[in-house]
Formats: sequence, structure tokens, C-alpha cells
Amino acid sequence: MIGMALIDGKGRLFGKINIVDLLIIVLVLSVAVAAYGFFFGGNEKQVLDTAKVVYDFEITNVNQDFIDAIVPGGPIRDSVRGNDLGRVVGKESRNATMLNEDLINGRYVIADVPDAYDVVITIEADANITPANIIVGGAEVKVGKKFFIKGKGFANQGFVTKITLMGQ
Amino acid sequence: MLLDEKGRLFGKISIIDIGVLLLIVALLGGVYYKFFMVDKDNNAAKFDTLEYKILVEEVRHQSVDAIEVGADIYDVKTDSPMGKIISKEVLPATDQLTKADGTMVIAEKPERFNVLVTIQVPGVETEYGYRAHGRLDLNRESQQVLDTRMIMVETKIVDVKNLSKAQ
Repeated sequence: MIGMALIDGKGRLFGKINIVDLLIIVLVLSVAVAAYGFFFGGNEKQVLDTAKVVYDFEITNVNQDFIDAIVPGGPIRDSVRGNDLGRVVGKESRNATMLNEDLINGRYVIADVPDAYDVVITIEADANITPANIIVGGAEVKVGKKFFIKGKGFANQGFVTKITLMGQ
Repeated sequence: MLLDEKGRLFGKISIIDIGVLLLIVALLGGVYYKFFMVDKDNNAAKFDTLEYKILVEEVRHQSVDAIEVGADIYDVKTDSPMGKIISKEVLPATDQLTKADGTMVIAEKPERFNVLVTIQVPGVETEYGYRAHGRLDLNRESQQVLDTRMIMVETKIVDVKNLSKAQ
């Protein structure tokens, strides 16, 4: 009964649109989308190469326990999308700092933050290289790009600060 | 009645035929646009060379290093090519500071830099402004994301000119 209500005896959908016309529309639409991709898509999204990429990821203002939890060899994931972002190959920490105003002398000063650290995690990953992007785990990795990451027993947000494409 | 019982608009034209016609027209329009208006490889001669400067403010040396002279720039949404970095000038980052005695000074921010980046891109100049590749408006004081393969950072356009006209 439902089928009869949907398509009548003349093959018209809801008694109005011919099912053949509908198929033609779908076909034309598909051709239009394909043509758009061909003409406008360009080759900027084409993967030119795959390569090892080593990138630095900085997380600021954390404590010593957080730094200790980062272990070389451990996997790093995007904590929002769950994608694999590579493995830790190194870490380096230093005192956390803040840019403060010295209003007496009229200058900016960099002040150490007590008991807090900035840590730079060096991560190695396989990347797809396109003309416009270096893609790791489906995400564009660029200096200045913010990620929410997680490893074993730690999670935080930070920024990519350096990228090295190996063998290039 | 807008549509009659046969699916015809005002009893004359099938709504389906109109839909098909519109799609074909749109497709032909797209092909015309691609081949005769914006294809930079085939139609570069139709574009002038625009040069614009962007200011990247208060970044650290890592970002300065990632802005590479010669790097191609891409539209952040479509990844379409948007020019090439011709030069960069690294300046100390400064800001106004009101001292405790009420006077104001321009103070330098340690370990922070402003970068003045010069970019060249094929584009058009009209009486309404400058458009990179005929698509992206280049206006002084407007925000633009500098997107190369290595870095993505918010910037501000500070200057734009038509090099082809200057010659």
C-alpha cells in the first residue's frame, strides 16, 4: 500500500514527478558535482608524497607530574577526534614564563612562573604531503595550529611550534 | 495554482524540465567561468600582479622562522593558491603602556616579534578594490589568515597595490 501511494500507475512519484525525470535529475546532478570537482577542485588537495614528519608541540603552564607522564615512544592522539597524531620521540621542559607589565619603569618583562613549566613534546608521525598541507591523522599540522592532545595518563591543549619534514 | 496536477508550473512548463534546464545552465556557467575567467595557467595574462603586505603581530621566533620567503600561500577554506611570499621583515613587537605616573610609553615586548610579509598574487584592480585571483578581496585593515604548508596565523592586511600599473 505504501509503494502504491508513493508511485502511482503512471510511474509518478506522489502523482506529480515522473520517476524517470527524477533519475535524470540525479544523473545531471552527479555530472555537475563531478564537473565541479574536476574544474574547481584543483590539485591542491592531492597527496604528492608521504613522509616522516617531526614536529614540536608546546604545552604551557603544567606541573612536573604532567611532564613525567610524557614518555618517549608513547602514542599521541587528538583528544577531540581520536586520530593518531604520532609518537613521542623527545621532550624538553623549562620554567613557565609570563609577559608582564612593569608599570613603574614602563616596560614589559618576562617573569618566571613558580612551580610551573612549559614543555615541548617532539612527535614523529607519518604524514601525507599535499601542496598546501602536511596531514597527520587527517589533521593539518602547521605552526600555530592548536590541538587538544592526549597520551597515556595526560591530556592538554597546546600549539605546534616547529615542523621538520624528514628527507626533504 | 502554481503547480497543476501534472506537476507543470502555471499549467505550462514542467517543474522538472525547469530544474534540468537550470542545472545545465549552471554547469555551462561553471565551465565558462573556469576556462575563460579564473584559470590562472591559461588566463594569467588577464590578471595584473598585485602586491600586498600583511602584518603578523606579536609572534615568537618559532612562527617567524616558519614564515618562509618563496612559500606559496593558500586560501584557508579552499586551499586554492593565493600567491607567494616575496619577502619578510622582522620587527620588534611593541605596544602602548601607561606607566604608574600616568604617562604613556611605547614599550618593546621581549621575545615577541611583528613580521611584515610581502606577497605577490595575480589579481584584478577595479574601482571597488583589489581582488586576488579575481576572488579574494584585499582591503587594508582587514583580517587575513596566512596559510602556507608550514604555518597558519591570523594577520592584518596593511598595504595593497597593483604592480602592473606601477610599471
